[in-house]
Amino acid sequence: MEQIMKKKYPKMKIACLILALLVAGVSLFAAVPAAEAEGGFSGLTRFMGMIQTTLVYGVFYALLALGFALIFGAARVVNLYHGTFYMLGAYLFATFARPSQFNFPFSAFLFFQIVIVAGMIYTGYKKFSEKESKNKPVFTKLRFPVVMLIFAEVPLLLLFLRVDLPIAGNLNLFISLIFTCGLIGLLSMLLNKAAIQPVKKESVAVLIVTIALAFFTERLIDAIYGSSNVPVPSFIETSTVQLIFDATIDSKRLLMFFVGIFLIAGVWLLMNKTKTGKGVLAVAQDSEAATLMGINTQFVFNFAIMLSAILAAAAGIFTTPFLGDASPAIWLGVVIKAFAVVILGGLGSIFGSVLAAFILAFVEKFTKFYISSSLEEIVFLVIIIIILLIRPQGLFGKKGRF
Amino acid sequence: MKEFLKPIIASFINPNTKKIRPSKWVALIFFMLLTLVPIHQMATENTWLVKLILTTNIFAIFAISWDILSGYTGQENFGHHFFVGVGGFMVGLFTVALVKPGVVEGATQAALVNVNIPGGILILISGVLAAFFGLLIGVPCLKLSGPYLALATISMGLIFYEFVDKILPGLHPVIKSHATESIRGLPSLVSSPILFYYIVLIVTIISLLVLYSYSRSNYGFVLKAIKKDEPAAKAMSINTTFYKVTVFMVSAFFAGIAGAFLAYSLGSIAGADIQTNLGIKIISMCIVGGIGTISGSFGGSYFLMILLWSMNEIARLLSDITGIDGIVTFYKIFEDIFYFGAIVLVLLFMPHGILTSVINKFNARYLKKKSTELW
Repeated sequence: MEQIMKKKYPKMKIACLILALLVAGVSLFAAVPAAEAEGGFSGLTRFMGMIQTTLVYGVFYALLALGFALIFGAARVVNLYHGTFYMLGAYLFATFARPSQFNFPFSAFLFFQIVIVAGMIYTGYKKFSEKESKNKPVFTKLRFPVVMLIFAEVPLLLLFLRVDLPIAGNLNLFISLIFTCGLIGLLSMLLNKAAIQPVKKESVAVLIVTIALAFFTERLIDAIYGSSNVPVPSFIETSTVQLIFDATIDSKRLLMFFVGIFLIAGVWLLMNKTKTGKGVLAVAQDSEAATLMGINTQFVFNFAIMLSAILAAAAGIFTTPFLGDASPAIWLGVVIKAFAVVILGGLGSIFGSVLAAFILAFVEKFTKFYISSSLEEIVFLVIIIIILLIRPQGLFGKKGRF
Repeated sequence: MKEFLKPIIASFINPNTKKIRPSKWVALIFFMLLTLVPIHQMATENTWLVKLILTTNIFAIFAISWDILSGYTGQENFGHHFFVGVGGFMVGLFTVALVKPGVVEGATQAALVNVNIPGGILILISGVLAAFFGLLIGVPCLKLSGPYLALATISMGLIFYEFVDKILPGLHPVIKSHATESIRGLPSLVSSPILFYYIVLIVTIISLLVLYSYSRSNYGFVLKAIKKDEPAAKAMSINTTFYKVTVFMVSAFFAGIAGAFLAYSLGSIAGADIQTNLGIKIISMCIVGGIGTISGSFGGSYFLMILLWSMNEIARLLSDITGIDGIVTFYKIFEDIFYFGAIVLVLLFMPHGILTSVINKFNARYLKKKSTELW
């Protein structure tokens, strides 16, 4: 396996070197563009600001793209629901952690509610797909879960009809984090079981189902929370951290940077040092051969989609405090960015996307700081098109049909 | 020419019995009924039915033009709203934004161009421009398919949105940024709304006939072959490049024309009208009707639009009876959820689409024949 790894990722050493240099760069020269508030940039602050934002956004995009690449590698599906995990992560975390004036454990109620609903849908799906009950009419098979679902959903329906219930959990931040990650993991497994696996053979059907479900969730969140943005609490209060050479950085960004690096390193260790992770890599290389070697591919799919969803949710929890409040429509930009990063890295290569994330973040932030901040998004999208036209296999991917 | 027309005529008239196929009679009666719709407005002074059918017709053109590209050829386009936007903004720019003087802080700014294009020609130009954009996108995207093509087309749509939202407002003070109506006050195409209704109806019928004939001609068979197995089609010495680019342009042309009509019927055009969810709504209409059948997606758009409208009416009636205002608000929030829920449920449980499945079952039970095609 080690040798296969070395063959598969010959450029990993270079990638790690560049990454290390970038990290060294931030610890030496990071600076926040303090002049921005006064209306002007000096040359050095502009440069420092660009480097610092590039690094923070690079880690952010890498977190997103790592999960996206994992699912593609293991299950060969493009999961456009990925951005929604990011959005839901932020929303659920805010729901659990927001202080409420009423001492009502709403989040625990919501948690059990969602677990019940997920269980019901899963039972319904199981009953639906059972072979011996194929001749029974559909409604007989689904009666029990549907009735249970209706009972479980009545409180939520009351919420939709604008009965004044405070949606706030008043929980400890770390407990909220654990709750959120658990829920997102469950949801991702449900998504895999109920929506992706039935249409997995048709790659375009997977695309349509996942993007439709993403819009569905967007509207649902819009209906529950209203279209106004929801502030996400942060683990750290806003302050400027003093670095070397009078350089400063926003504490929330610094937290995101370190958490992101920690998670990426964790995923790297998980993938390369544990049996499960090696199994994922083996399935990514050749799923049939992996099955012959005794790897449970179904378990690997579930594991990969759960890991990717939790990474996306973590990105949502740690980036939304400084990017601005959570809003239902943020998922589209996020999923497009993750997709673009993964394609630049090469759809077969999981860690190539980490390098690609830094490259794309650099291009985006260079445009923002040196050309025009309104062109930031357009330049990013144009670069996606150019990559697709010139080198659709990406930097580290294999050649093939696209 | 006769060879070219032969399969098309055979799809309308059964060559063995020399009779018009029954499904074509259904279509004929359906369109006859649609021509009678304005009587409702004349009799009751209510405009809702005419407006509903008008919007549905425009969406039906979107759906069938998506289907010829994606359902038939297998080039799944997730950015169909881009072509719609090209058509709509063409009309918006050349009837209001560029040709009328704008007012900035009291001072009048002169019009950018001084032309007055008649509406009909403007609609044709927007179709041709959309087809040109179809060529621009279609040629580079030839070697892409599946997720790659999806990413490319979604990005195209987002680029257009960013362009409309950030760059276009700098051109002229009339154009607003990030509003639901960025270009407002479009003149109506013709003086009476009933005449406009008939124009849209005729355009719909023509588009349906053209695209249906296109799909049933030898070109359409090539498109199906490309969807099934492109290397095999190439091996049969078919120039697949030509066919793929052509179908991209045809699809874009009709979407552009329908987009122009959309702008005229709304009376305004904005970035909010052409966001990514419009593209997904078009796809949902095709999937609900039956992907890969032109008539299926036409029926699907009518099915979804009328279903959603009637649910809206039921909600309104319920709130009238019970006196709770919340029901209408509740429905308004959930309107889009139905679109996206329908697409998922249909794809998971009825992958051939509702209408196609129902008609196949009807055929199998009462006519004792196996049919995979609608109409």
